[in-house]
Amino acid sequence: MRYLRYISFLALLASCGTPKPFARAGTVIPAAPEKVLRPAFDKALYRCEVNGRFLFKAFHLSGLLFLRNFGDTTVRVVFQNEMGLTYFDFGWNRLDSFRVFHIIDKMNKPALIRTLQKDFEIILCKNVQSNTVSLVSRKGTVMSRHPFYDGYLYYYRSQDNPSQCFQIDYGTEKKTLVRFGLRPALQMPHPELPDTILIKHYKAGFVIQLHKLRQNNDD
Amino acid sequence: MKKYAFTLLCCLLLQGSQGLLFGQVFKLMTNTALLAERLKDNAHAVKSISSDFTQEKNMKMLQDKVRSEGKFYFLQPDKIRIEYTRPFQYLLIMAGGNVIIKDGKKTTRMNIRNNKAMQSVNQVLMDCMRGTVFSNPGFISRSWASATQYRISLAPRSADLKKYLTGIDIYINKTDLNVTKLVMNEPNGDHTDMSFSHTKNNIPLPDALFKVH
Repeated sequence: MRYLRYISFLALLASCGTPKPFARAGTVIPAAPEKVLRPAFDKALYRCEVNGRFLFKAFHLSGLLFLRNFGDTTVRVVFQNEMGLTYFDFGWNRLDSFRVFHIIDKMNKPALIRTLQKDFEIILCKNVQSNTVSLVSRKGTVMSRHPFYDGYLYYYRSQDNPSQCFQIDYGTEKKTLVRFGLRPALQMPHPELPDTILIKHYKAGFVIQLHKLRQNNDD
Repeated sequence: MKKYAFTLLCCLLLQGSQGLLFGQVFKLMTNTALLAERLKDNAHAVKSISSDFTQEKNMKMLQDKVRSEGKFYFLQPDKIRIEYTRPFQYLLIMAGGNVIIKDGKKTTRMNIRNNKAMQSVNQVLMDCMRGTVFSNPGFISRSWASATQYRISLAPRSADLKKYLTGIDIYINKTDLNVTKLVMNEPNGDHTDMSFSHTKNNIPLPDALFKVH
């Protein structure tokens, strides 16, 4: 009986960690093809804030994130500080092949580049496979699952409005590693880039906040 | 026809060597001692500066620009406040070798000695205000003059800094010796232009302007 209590307690602790994707159960609902999730945009400017902890020390980084779509699905993402100095400049060609055009020494770490590459590919819906899609629904939420690198992307939509995607999770079948909160929700097909994107990295322990800015010439 | 083309090419090359930029002909100055003296004298007379600024980041490969604007303040001997107001709110205060950043509700204090690029930009800004731009040992300077402006081009000496900045150009009004523009050039061909306007010298600036509460 005493061991049972311990086991229950451990089970409770295990359930309090990173959020888990839905169990694979429920009604199967037809998925939207991968291409309808790809955002349609010309250019966008975001205020970017990164907050996290590394080796028990809090860190904060801020700047401007500029995204430019050249129309032929070639995309560039440039992150710079407020005074204009470029931190990194990433790009994807029309075949969604990734390239680092520029990155400062302090950020030039393969693991960090890989993490940022995946984050932007999730936002821009690049390299998301559509061949094996499984769908479940629970508590009024529709979820579609797409293979993405060594894990899965889970797209969350409201059952009342299945053309709107309000959250994307990246993780394994058991664990969510990264959660993307999207406000307003992505309106499919060919959604606009959301005004606010909140990216929570549960394993790496940092949060990226993106808020869309309007420049004078866009007003 | 060939003769005309050759003449045109010669004219273009000549203009290039004289530094034709922004519609003005800049000629290389061989003697900068007088300018250095004028800048120092002016800095002694200017105790404070208040100015508006517009910043334009020009991205060469993307053929696009990111614009922002705000207010700039300087108080002798070493206090600078750069306040971005559009399209985002961001406050940068430099005082006594320390930097305070207010980003939304978050305030960060940092020692710029740990950040070479920030330290250099800070030093150049201070040098501009204090008239000591020629005595910065971290840069090689060359000076140019047009009918209305001076242009001082600073090239970093350190290999570390060259990774971030290939040079900083300072544009100074010949009449009142106010800095009108700073151009920060990056290795990839991008450049950020910070243009100053509505500059007022020697107006009272409270110390509180250089503190974050």
